[in-house]
This record gives sequence, structure tokens and C-alpha cells, in this order.
Amino acid sequence: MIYLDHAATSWPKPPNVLHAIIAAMAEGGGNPGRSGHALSLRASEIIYECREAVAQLFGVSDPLRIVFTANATEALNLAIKGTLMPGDHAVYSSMEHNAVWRPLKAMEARGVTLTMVEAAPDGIVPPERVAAALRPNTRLVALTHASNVNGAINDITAVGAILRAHDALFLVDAAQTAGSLPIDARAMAIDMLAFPGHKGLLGPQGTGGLYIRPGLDLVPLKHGGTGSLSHLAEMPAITPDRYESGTPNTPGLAGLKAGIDTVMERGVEAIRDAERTHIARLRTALSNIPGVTLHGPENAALCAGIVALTASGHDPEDLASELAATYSIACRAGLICAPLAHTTLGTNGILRLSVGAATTEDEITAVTAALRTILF
Amino acid sequence: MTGEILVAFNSLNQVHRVRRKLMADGLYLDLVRVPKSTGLPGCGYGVRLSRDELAPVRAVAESFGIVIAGSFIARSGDWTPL
Repeated sequence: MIYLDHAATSWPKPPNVLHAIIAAMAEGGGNPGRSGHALSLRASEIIYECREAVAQLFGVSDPLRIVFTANATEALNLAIKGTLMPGDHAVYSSMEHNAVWRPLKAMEARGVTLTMVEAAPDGIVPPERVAAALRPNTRLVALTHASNVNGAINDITAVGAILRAHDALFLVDAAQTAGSLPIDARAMAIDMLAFPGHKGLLGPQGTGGLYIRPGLDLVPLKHGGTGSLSHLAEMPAITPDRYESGTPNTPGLAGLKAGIDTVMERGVEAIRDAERTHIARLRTALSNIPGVTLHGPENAALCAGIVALTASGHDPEDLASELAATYSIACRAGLICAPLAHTTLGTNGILRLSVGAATTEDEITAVTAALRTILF
Repeated sequence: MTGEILVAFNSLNQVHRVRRKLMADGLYLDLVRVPKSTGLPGCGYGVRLSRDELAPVRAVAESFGIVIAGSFIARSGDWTPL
């Protein structure tokens, strides 16, 4: 199989990720933070080691500010529902995933007002439009680092700089960039960073998290056992315990730690360079096929590892089906869980080809040839 | 056990943060569940150490802004607050 669906989840996972998951179940199979025996204590160490790895990757000095969740969606829900109150105002862009849009709309029903910033036709959100949308009661600006539809990269540093002079919190959705674009939460003035574990970080599904900057307290999304201060009715005020009720995904986090190790060994910059090269090649080759329209920044430097395309006379879903059935090429088509983005891009669904750390030049050549054959 | 010291924290995550820093500095401490005999409520965790290791533990915790839940010394098979 040629796998070009890394924006959905990375595959295959590095062997050390698989080994780490199995080892965690064998050697750290206890419930972390619940008992004092060796299996329980080892499990808690495994999780803390992952916390450290995430913190190091994102330039966070305190690993305890990394909260683990089941996925980026849960992290975004925690950030949005944990900060917004009736009467608050929030800003988001037209390129946001439903994981941002839907919780924001749910909060709108509870008395939060929203402003959507329209991205440019290539999907990039101009920072000055974010600045123009701010109000005195703006509590939150939620922005994707890169679009999951077409990969358009937003200038997080510029938006962060704007928000330094404002009381609004800056929430960044790094679903498409964690592990494949450099992220320094402090330098970028990010207050909350939501990340999945199973995409660019190469971990298993069921992992993700939220960085919460020091001093910022959220309303917990979940309430329950934490293995700490158990005599209290309220959730502990201690981070990450405050936000991590219930038995954690120890095997998954062991795998995530191994995935991050792989990313760090190879280097985020090196992964980024490889993906940018693949995207540039894809864009050049696909743009020469008659009837194909590419939707996204022309410059691959402004694009994460995603190419979005439509072909006249062809439904994107049909193209994806034919690529899978005839050429064993895995990709995704449709609205890609970001309906607002299609208004900006002028589409009603796209074919998405997404590359990752494991993508090869031969695979890029093969998918280009397959599409040329189908569309000619 | 007599003379041994137990430093308890409110969260196992806090124990790990302090303990990993001390390990990086060359001081290895046993991670333990805090016994009920300390009188601490909840389900605490801590580290066991000797008296001369107490100062660096306290210093590291303080540098991280982590509040120590309690410090105890083993006397006659019981844990007595320091």
C-alpha cells in the first residue's frame, strides 16, 4: 500500500513504538497513581517520561503543564470549554476543524459571542485580520497552526505577538504540525497548545494532549479519580491531575514517547524539509495534469504536508475510491471535517494527499502517475 | 528503617518531577506510597531518603514551586513529622 493519509493518522508506526507499547503492558501493566506496587509505579514513570518528552519537543520547561487527553479533539474541548464563560468573546478562523468550530458553537449557545476571521483564498489567515477581530472582552483566539484541509500554515508567531498586548488567550491547534513543524510554545506566546499523539508524533491512536501555560487555570472537562488528594470532593488544584481523571492510557503514552524519540532523533527540521520537498514535487506534477486545480498556498514553504485538489468532472470521493481500489493508494476525500474551509477555498469537498515521515519519493511518483492515468 | 526520612507530596506527578531532577543530579531516591500512619489524608506518594538528602529534595521542590505535603522520620516503626 502507498499511504498518503498521514493527516488522518501516521502509518506505519516506527517499530520502537510497537515495542514500547508491548513492553509497557508487560512491565508497567499496573494502574498508575493508584497503588504502591512495582507495576503501578513503573506505569507512572512511563507516563512521566512521555510528559517530559512532549515538554522538550514544545519548548516547555515544566512537564507538569502537559495534560494528556485521548486525542486533540478532547484537548481542544478542554481548552475551549475550560476558559470561556457567558459574556466572553472568542475569535476563530474559517479554516478551523470541527474540533474547534463545534465546541465554540456549543459555547455560543451558552452565551459566548464569536467572530470568524475569514482566511485568504489560499487558506492562510492574515494576522492583521485576527487583530481587527479582537474586542475588549475577547477571552480566546483559537487558530489552527496548519489547515487539515489544504495544509496552509498560519503565522503563529505573528498572531502570538499581537496577542501579547491583549488579554485574550491564544489556543493553537497543532493537529497537523506537531512533530513536523518546529513549535516553541513560549517563543510563540502560545497559552494552550492542543496536539494529537498519533499523527506527526508517530504514537498510537488514543493519545494526545494539551499544553497549558503556567498560571492559567481551566475548568476541568472531566471529574473523577486522580489518585491524588482523594479525600476532597473537588478536583485537585494541581496540574496535570486537575484535568486527568480516570485511568490513563499507559501503553499508548509509552508508544507516544517512543514516537517522539523517533521524531527527535530524526529532527523536526529534517522531517519538515522532507515533507516540503514531497509537497513541492506533488504540486508541480499535479498542476501539469489538465483539469486539476490545487487548493492551497503555491509556495510549499507555506504548506504543511498536505495537497488538496479537485479535478473537473470527477468527484473527489470517487477519485479516492479509485486510487484505493485500483492502485492501493490510501488518501482521503470530502469535507475533511472542516466545512467552513470549503467556503474559503471555493470547494465542496477535495481530494487530500498527505505525506508524513515515512513517505518516499517513489510513492510521490506513483500517486502522480496514478492520478494522471485516471484523469487523462 | 529507624532514622529514615519520608518526604510526601500531594501528587505522584510532582514526585516524578522532583525525583527526575534529583536523578539527573546523581541522587537516586526510592519512590513510595505514603503510608496511612503518617496521618496524611488522600493517596499520597513520596520519596524515601536519608537525613543528608533532605536539603536537596526540599530545594528542588521549592525551585519548581512544588509544596511538600509533609516530611516524616521513622522512629520506633512509626512515622513522626519532622
